[in-house]
Amino acid sequence: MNWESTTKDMLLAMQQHLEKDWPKMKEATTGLLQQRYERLSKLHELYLKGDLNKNFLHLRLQEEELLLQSEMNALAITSIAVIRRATRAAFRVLLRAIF
Amino acid sequence: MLRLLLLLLIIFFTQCRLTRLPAYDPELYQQIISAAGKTDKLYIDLRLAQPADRKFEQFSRRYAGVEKAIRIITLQYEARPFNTRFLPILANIDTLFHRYREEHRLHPTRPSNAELLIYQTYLRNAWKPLIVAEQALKNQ
Repeated sequence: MNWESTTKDMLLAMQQHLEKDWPKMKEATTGLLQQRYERLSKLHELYLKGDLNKNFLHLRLQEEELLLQSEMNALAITSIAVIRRATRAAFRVLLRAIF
Repeated sequence: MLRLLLLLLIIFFTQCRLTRLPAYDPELYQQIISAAGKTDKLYIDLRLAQPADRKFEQFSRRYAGVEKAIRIITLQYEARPFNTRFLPILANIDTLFHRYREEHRLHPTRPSNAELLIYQTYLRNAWKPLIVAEQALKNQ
């Protein structure tokens, strides 16, 4: 068994998976960031127009923490799934080289 | 070289143990989409109703329907293994939904279009992370 080439193949397998999954990760992250921007813009706009009172605005701004927590959890799950796929691909290469 | 192999195996199994995720469940995914849609529809209908027709009592059944959908999904997640990162997302949906329902119930007049639009946006944005997380489980 050639360790040098096996290590290279393992890295290549991981790289290929990460490259394939990267657009999905990017899409998930930008999607969540975009919705935050749109939500806060809407809140700001309606408050400036006088359609929302100060108390309502404060309540919603306090809830941003909850939404941020949810978004962080979703991104953590997404990245774990991506890492697992890449690690499995590398492990498959290693197993093929051994057996 | 044997050490390297051992190290890789240790890393792999440690990673597996610490970062396990549940398997993708298409049925549960559909239930999430349906519950998110139901929540959205409730606020669309509230916005379309005349302010005089936005009494809490007129929509209490609809609120109960959404609450039931959230409860069913939460129960399924609670019974699911490796759920630690999913449960806080669901708890936040539940918190926001109950808060907005109470604000509607105790509103001195009736919720305005602007307030309803914000409730709808916040709840839609609270469901989105759960949908993104479930989609990540596909092809694991």
